[in-house]
Amino acid sequence: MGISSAFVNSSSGLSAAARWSELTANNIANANNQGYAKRGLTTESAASGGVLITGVHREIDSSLIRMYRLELAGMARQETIATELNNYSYQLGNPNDTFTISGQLSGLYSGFGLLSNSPGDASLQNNVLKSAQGLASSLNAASNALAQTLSSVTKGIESDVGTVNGSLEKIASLNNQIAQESNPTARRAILQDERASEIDALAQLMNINVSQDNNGNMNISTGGGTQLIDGMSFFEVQYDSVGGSLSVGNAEITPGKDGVRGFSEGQLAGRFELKGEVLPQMQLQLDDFARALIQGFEAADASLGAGQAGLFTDLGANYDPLQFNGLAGRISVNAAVDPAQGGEIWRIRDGIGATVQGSASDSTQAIGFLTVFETAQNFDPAAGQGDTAELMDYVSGMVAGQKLVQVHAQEKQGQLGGKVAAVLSARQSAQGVNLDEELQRLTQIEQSYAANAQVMQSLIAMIDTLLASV
Amino acid sequence: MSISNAMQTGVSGLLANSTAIGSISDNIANANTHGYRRTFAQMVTSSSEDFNVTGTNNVHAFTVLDMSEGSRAISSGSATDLAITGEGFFVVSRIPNDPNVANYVLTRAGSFLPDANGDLVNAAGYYLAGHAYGADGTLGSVDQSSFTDLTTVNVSANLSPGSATSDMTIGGNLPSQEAGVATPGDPFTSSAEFYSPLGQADRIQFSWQPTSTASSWDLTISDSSGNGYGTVTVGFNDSGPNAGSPAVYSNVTSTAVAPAAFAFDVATGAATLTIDNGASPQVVTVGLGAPGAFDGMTQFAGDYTSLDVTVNGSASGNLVGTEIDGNGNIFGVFDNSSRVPLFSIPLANVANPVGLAPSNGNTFEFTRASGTAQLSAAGTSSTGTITAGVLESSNVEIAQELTDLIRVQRAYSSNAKIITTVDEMLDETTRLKR
Repeated sequence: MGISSAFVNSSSGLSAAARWSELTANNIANANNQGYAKRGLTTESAASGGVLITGVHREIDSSLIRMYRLELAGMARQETIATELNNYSYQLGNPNDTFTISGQLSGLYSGFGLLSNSPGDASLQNNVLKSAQGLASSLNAASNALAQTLSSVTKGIESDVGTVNGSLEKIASLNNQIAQESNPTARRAILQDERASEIDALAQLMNINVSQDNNGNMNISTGGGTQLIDGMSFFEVQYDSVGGSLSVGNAEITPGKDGVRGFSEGQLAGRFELKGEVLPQMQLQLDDFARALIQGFEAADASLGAGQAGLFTDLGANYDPLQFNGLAGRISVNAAVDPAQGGEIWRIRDGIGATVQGSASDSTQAIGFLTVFETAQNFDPAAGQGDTAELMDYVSGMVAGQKLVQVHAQEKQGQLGGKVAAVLSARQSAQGVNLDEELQRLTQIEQSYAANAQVMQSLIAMIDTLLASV
Repeated sequence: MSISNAMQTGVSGLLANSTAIGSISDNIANANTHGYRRTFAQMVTSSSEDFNVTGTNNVHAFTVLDMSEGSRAISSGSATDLAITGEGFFVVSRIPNDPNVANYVLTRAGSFLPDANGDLVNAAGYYLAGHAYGADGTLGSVDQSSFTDLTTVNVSANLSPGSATSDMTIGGNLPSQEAGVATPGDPFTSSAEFYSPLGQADRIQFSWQPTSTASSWDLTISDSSGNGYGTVTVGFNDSGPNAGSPAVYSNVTSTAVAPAAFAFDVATGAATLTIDNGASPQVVTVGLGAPGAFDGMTQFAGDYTSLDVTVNGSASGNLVGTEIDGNGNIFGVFDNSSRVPLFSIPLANVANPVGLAPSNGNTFEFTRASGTAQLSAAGTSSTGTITAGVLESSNVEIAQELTDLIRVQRAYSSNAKIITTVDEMLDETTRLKR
């Protein structure tokens, strides 16, 4: 229209540039903030002149976010398995270490070998006793470490479920707050940042599907499709510690269970995998090995009467199939051979059931004990190590297999970690602050401000000219 | 034409130009008044034919309103500052809810803010009038040619009573690979929120059980505590142009316990639920998608997606803010994140806007010349749209006013010169006789 409109237009330009500089300053200030998505200003030209600020938008790439959350859940599951098994894996040691199950077992084997050559040597008898006790105690220690891992996993599940519920509640309430801020304001952007970080945290615990509805709400369901958040309502996840199941309302979502609409990745899935499959399998292998030891030495001992315990016992008693569970934690050396417990060391040579000391040169029983190591023993095929194996082979297979679970998880974690890092860096470059870009923009803002101010100056000069001629 | 006429013409010129300068001073004084419309003096000849002398042309100034649109000023960001882009006026009254329709006037000044009672009032003290939305979310029939149905716009209504849900449509995808397996897994369960007549939020559960027949699912609809309404078997098209859409609804079974009831229209794919939550039960129609259509449930290979629910009605809640859209609808934003239209701000058009009389407080009053007002919603027919957070500046152009000022000043001096010249001439004439 003229000079007056020009004034209004350039002042709108000035205020837009000022607002833009505010956003840019905020972007630069948050350049190192992980959860911050860079902001942009949306402007439009006003119908009757000037520029109109319509809002503040966050620059995000939703497909990268989805990919990031998926990979993150996968990595978190492997990470959990690797970390939780760490302690137990140290306890198991390497197959060649002396003070591990396999080291003690081979010590016992060679002890009996030496004893069969000079059965009268009390120091060799003592050596066998020490090895047997060492084997029992390293089995006990492994079983204890496994029990501790199990209890830490169970506690982890309980605390994870609490975290999930806290997260769900927070996301639902953020949904509500964001819906109330319908215009793209700076406050809305802050709330959206907060919600995105919260969903990222949830994605680490379980793999989820996130969809946005037309009110701007983020609706969340588990990877399998069970609803967790619908708008501002959330559905609490319940953990049944007795049955070991997870559920939302009436729907079961236990990870790893067939047919349920749960989830398969994430920290929580990793813990359930440990609790439901990995740890029971390891316990079974340990217990089965303990059983084979007890039964093997019972069978090889000619001096035993019916129902009498052999060299290895279940807390002093002979093997009882009803007491199989946790056998590895209770296996001990028969007190009858331990002088410290009132036993006689010569029973190692003569058999545990011997009542009187036999001839010092009689190696029959020692050779009999050697057969325990040299013949194949029966094992429970459910333990995953075949149905027959020699003790040494079984143990090295078991230790290697159990360690492999952790190593495997660690390797996968490394692989997925690389993926996560790659996706994260792509996500960061899409939504994170690029300082070069921001500084460049700052120059642009400066120019735009100066140009608008120059327009104003010219307008003032024009009016002054007019006033001078009145 | 004579000397005395010349004197008279000069006087008329002085008068006309002083009127013009009056307009200019008004305009310059109001250059920064929101919604101000400039006036200017239109010069008209008036010939006196009384003396049967031709060629006498006095001048007369008429003050004319310039109704052209003002430019925009970006406001400080108050969401209740309103500007009209295009034609039309806000209807305002001096006192809130004035029952006398004659007291309503028009304005373009939109710097409205809620007063102590929540009534929107502008800086000049005029209250904004609008049509209130009913509880059902519609305006009903309002009289667009008079101001009788107008009430003052109030944004303090702190409780939305809520309204009952009658219609719901659900959409989503069922994973086709889950149906037709020997031992189908657990059902996919989702729930959708609806609102009781008391504005209470409740949920309906939808449980989709895959069957061992490919593309066939059993849907069970139940209430939030798991009491079933009924079941229906949904078969999806597995081929042809409509592959993935519902093919046939069958095996409709009602498991509802009276007074609750369940009915299903297999032709349209709509379930009718009678919900026992009051003396007269609430009836909700749930649309799953007609056979062969893709607007409801679909079945493709992939993931189960949570239901996309569209539902009418609203929950009761407290007002936390307001929003105004381009069509002049004021929406209340409630703490349950629902948006409920509260008022519609109509714009008034008159046949001849230039005929309006400027009055106190940036308002314009109706005159015989302006014609009567016709109300219409913003953005419809010839009325403009409303932009919130922006104010309209005056349409005064300082440069133009200043140049006019120069012109008028010269004209005034010229007229004064005529008078002094005529005076001198008359003086000459009187001096003829000694």
